[in-house]
Amino acid sequence: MILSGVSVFALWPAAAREQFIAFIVAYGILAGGYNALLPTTIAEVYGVAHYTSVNASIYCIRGLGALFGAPLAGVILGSHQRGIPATPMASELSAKMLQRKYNLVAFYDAALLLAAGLAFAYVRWSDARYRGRWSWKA
Amino acid sequence: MLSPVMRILISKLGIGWALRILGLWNLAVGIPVSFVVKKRDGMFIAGEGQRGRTRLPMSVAKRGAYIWQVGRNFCEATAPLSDTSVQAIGAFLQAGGNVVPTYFLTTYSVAVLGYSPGTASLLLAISNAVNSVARVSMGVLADRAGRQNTMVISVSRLRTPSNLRTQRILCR
Repeated sequence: MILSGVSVFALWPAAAREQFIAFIVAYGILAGGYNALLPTTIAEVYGVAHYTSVNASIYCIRGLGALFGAPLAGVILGSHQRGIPATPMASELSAKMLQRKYNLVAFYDAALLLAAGLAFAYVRWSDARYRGRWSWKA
Repeated sequence: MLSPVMRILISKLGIGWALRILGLWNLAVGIPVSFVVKKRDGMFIAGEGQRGRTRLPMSVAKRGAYIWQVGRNFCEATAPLSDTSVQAIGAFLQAGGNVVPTYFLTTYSVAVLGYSPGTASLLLAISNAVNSVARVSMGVLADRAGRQNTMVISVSRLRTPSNLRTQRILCR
């Protein structure tokens, strides 16, 4: 998750075409990890007895997160006019402004993912403390 | 995966038939699945123990205070900040962060980079395909390196310059 935040931060903002495709592939690979691994880590951290309840509530909170994440990014993006601008200078200016707005969206997204990564690192540390010992392979 | 197929279907057959074909496909996939899923015996036994199972028991919620109680003073408030509440916060943030690239991929590639909308949906399909492969491989990786480790770090090697060069060659 930390690496997915890093890839958003590093690969999205400047974004020529090849770099953007590299970002798509990198983000696709890195973001798959969380979705696939969440149920098993829940079972491991909280015990199989409580699996259903914790799973349900975590997915509920994830829904809330998705509900807040995308519209906020849309607010950052603002509205822009589609269509052919009048002069070449205007089109270049609007393209630059658009790029800058998308840069802001990229930074916002990277901040979200990095904060999530830190939260999960804390969960790992606290789980080790709960079990009483640290193991590298947890 | 589905979006180029849907695009071809819509352009050839019109949207009505494309939706009907999608519905039939869902039916065809769902029937073998419904044969495999079995109902567990004793699932609907009424009683307090069975019915209350999906509520979050307080012992788990207290493993951190599940929602960080902000009303206490600071020293007391940092003590309950343990893994359940932080897990909830982390899940919230990750879901928010996850939606943004998948949602803005198409609009970014059309508006800024100047791809056509068809190519933009193709990029989204590429992203989904890579995501599906990655879920399986992340599971395998997690078996080797530890599950929480993989989730926290999400190891990848794709940022090296040689790989960026490969991308450049592939895209020409």
